[in-house]
Amino acid sequence: MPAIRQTPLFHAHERAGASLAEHHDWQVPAYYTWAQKEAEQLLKSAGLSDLSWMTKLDLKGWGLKTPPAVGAARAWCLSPQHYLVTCEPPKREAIVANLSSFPASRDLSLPPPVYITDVTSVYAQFLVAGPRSREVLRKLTSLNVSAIDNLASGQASLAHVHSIVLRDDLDSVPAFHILVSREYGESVWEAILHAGHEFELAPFGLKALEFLGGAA
Amino acid sequence: MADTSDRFSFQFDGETIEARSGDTVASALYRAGRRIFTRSFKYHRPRGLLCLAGKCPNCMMHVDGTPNVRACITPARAGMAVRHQNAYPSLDHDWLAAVQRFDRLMPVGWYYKAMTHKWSWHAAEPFIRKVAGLGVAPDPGKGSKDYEHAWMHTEAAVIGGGRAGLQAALDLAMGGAQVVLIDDQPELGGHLRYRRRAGAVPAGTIAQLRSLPSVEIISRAHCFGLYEGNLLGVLQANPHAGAIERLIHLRAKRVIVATGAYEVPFTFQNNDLPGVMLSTAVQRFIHLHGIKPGASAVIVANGAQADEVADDLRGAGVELVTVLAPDEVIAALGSSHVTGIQTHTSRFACDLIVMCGQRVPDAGLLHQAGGKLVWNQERGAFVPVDLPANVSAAGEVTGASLSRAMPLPPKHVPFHKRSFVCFCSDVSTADLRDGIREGFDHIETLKRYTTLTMGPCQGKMCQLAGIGACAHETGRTMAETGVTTARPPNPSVSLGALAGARHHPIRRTPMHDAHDQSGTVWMDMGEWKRPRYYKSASCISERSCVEEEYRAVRERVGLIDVSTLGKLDVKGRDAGRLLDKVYTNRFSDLKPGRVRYSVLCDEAGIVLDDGTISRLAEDHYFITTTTGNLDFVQQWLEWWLVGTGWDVHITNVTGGHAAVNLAGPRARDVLKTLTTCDLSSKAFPYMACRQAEVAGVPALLLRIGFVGETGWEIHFPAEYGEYLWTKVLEAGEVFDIRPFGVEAQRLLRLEKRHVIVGVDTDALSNPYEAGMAWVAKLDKPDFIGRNALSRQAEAVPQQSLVGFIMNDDAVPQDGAAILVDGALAGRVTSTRYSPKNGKAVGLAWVVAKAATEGAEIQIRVNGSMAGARIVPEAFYDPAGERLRM
Repeated sequence: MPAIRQTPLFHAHERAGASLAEHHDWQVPAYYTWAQKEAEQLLKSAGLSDLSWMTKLDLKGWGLKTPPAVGAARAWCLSPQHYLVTCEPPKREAIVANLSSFPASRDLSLPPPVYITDVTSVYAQFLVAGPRSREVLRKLTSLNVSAIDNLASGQASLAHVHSIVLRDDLDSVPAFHILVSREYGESVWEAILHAGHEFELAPFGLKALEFLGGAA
Repeated sequence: MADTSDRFSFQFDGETIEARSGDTVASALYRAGRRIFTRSFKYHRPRGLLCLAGKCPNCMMHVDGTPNVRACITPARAGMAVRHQNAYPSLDHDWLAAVQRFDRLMPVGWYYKAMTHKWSWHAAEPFIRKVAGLGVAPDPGKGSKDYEHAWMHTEAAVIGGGRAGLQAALDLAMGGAQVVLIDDQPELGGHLRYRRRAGAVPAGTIAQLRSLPSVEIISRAHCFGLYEGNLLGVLQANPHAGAIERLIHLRAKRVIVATGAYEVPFTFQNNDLPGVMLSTAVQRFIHLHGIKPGASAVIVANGAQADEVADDLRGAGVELVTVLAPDEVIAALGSSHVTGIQTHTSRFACDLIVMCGQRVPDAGLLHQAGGKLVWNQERGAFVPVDLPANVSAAGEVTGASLSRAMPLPPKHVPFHKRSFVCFCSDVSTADLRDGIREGFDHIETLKRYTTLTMGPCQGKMCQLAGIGACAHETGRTMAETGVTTARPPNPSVSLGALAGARHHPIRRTPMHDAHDQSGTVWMDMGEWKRPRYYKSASCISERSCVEEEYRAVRERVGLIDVSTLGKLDVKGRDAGRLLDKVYTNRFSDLKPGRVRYSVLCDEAGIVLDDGTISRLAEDHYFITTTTGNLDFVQQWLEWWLVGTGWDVHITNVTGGHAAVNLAGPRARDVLKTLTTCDLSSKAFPYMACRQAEVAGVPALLLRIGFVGETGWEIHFPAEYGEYLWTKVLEAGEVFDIRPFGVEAQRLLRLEKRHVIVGVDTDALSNPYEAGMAWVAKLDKPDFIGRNALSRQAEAVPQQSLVGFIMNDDAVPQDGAAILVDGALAGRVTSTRYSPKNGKAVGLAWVVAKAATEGAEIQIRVNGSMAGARIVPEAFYDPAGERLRM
């Protein structure tokens, strides 16, 4: 497959002067200024990153009465028997294979326990992280993000767009993944930057994320 | 004492005014010698500073483009532009003050009495419109980025940062609760900041609160409403450099109202003169701004209540002339400023009259929460009781520490037309008496008839005196008279703040930037941005560009971005069953690799949406819906799934697929170069679907047609949007491919007589009248709308959706009226000039009896009627041969 997968923010990153790099066939910002400075700004206040390239799988089915086995990837329960799995692209194959292998003793009169739909492209995914990330988000949504525990999720309108909010702290630094339908990507990105201006929120790239112990 | 180190200046009516750090607009103007701050609403009487607390209407000015700004609580800033309101030509000389001479013609309720003939209102209105009202509407185009919203959640919200509020916040925080403290002043401390006898500002408590991570303090924020479920509306001024106001929706499990008590004026003749002030205003002048409010003062107070302010005045060097009891005073003397005061027995010269008025609990929020305000004779005020669970009161707002300033109801009320009760609307005691005598003797009707409490101060200055006058005149007690209902917002909130930042979400397709680079003229379709048409070197006007795009599709090949289509992924063993139940067509027998069109009807057989459904596998379908209807269709399907126990799983994948329609006689030639998929009609017939790589990108190809030419709708992962779009255009260059927009697509589909649901159909359209009888499979087991559709199939249609072609070169507009034999017979839904036919064609709803093949109809074009003929078939390739090439 051609290695020119673009996130919905591709041109916005270009206009912002980001240095782009290839990451699992995606064109992603490696950095905007430089990694250490971006990481420091995040740790001081707040940062915003475009993680739309992360693999996202939608799982539905009666087999999800218990959480699915996805190894080190994250499985988020959005509603009963409905999970969203997020992971690094290389992990995708193994997870899908694992979920698709039905136990031999399964009753074949029952439908398959899990249906998988790849929704990687369906959502724009942003990471808002930092000690003041909650203050940024409360200017955009009525969802009480402070009441979302680490590794829990919520759904609400954010910047007038329906969003899924996934909390996945970076060590002890509060961090929230915001997922919106892809076509709203640029709109919501701009809204987050605008709300974060007061807190000197700055975009950060892949290098800074690695520096902070995030994605690999 | 106010900080005098920082000096700056601002403009007032073109004059430069010196100010100091900590000044409000009013304090700086007062120090510069201004005494008249506005003119009253009705009589244009001169008004000066009365409360210095933002609770009366006397200091409203036009500040930096915003009208009705209370100068006494607005911090002065360098370079501010301040203008007076409601006076012409100036505050000191207002021609409209002459209106007072005609006060006999304007008694209470005079509109109802004077405008008894229709013409009288029409004659009076233009004049009244010019002189009534306050201020001038702000200049348009003021940046919406200046307003923000925020949502906060807390265990406890404390409203009021005075002594009681500070202590309550600290007690809650020490008890482990998370606390938000709201205070409307620039600094915490409440009235301790200017009432020396009451105690010192508790600096230690404040420091402790600021150090606790569980406590958030928001200053310069007014709580304007307490709504259901302990939702508080808070308006914060200047939260940061980038915003004027922030509207905070604060949800609290517990609310503690510690808003204190405020002072209200006495009633006597000319009590609205500049120079008549509340004692707390004098104290604010002296202790917050370091201003000596006058040279010689008379204090009006109930006994020892005068002592505190007497000390303050002496300390500021103001001569104390005398102290009078409230019922001794007859009138303030002077024309544009106080020169003296008149009692029953004598007259005193002075330039300042200080009223130690009744202190009234600021209990509006408690009243809104459902608490009651009951009269307390000892306290001389209405105090809050019976508070609901999770709402409590602390400090002076409870009324516990108040004392009576004068007996109420008063033993004697001087009903006089210049004894003002309502400063906002110039309502005097005489007006109240007259209103009561006319029969409006209940406080709620008296309020509405006289407009007492209905002005900008929202009842703060006038409610108590108004109730007192009403009680006195009706012979009832204060308790029997009661209060009027407190409603939010109080204080008022600007519409800009309620609206927040003007950020409308925009939905962009994955190819948005590519379109932007290609001379696109955009159009809005709901929140989506879509290319209407593309400008190029060879065409300038919309019409010529659209025609070029049209010709490209008909004669060669064109490419359109249809990513806005709603898309649903439906999986499950019973997926076919659900689709059969909800759609009118049959899908359980659709073979994998085939596509079928259907409409969706409600129980009444009305068409709600249409779309194509492809079967990708035994238990896997892919649905497309019209742009903008996706959310509805998904909800509709989920709704009808409930309770069935069927194995069906629906996922919205709209954003995940970019989609294009490559169409035209050369479409196959272009696509062939990009894919190894066999595109021949034998291997890939019309209404089939295949999964294949196009330019190396995994794609779903649907051979369907909307524009009437050979073509494929190609769905592929959105992240390849620009890449594939560019690749297809490159491959098509040799055939002179053109990207085409929505306008060209509308024309192309219209020539094929394709219906667009929601444009050519409406809330009354059923498939039979719309000419789509074939789409309803009545032999299916029961499905949504089946009963209604069966009846419609048998019924005589009332109207029909027909195609028409104009007789000559008139081109109607969408929506044009249709007449037959001079009577209204229908309307046009879609119409365009058809290059193929050399005339305009279109679709229209026409009453059934006139909707016969070949019938003549008249269509309104540009005010006159033009003839047209009804035709049954498509206006282009009716046999559909071009589609199947």
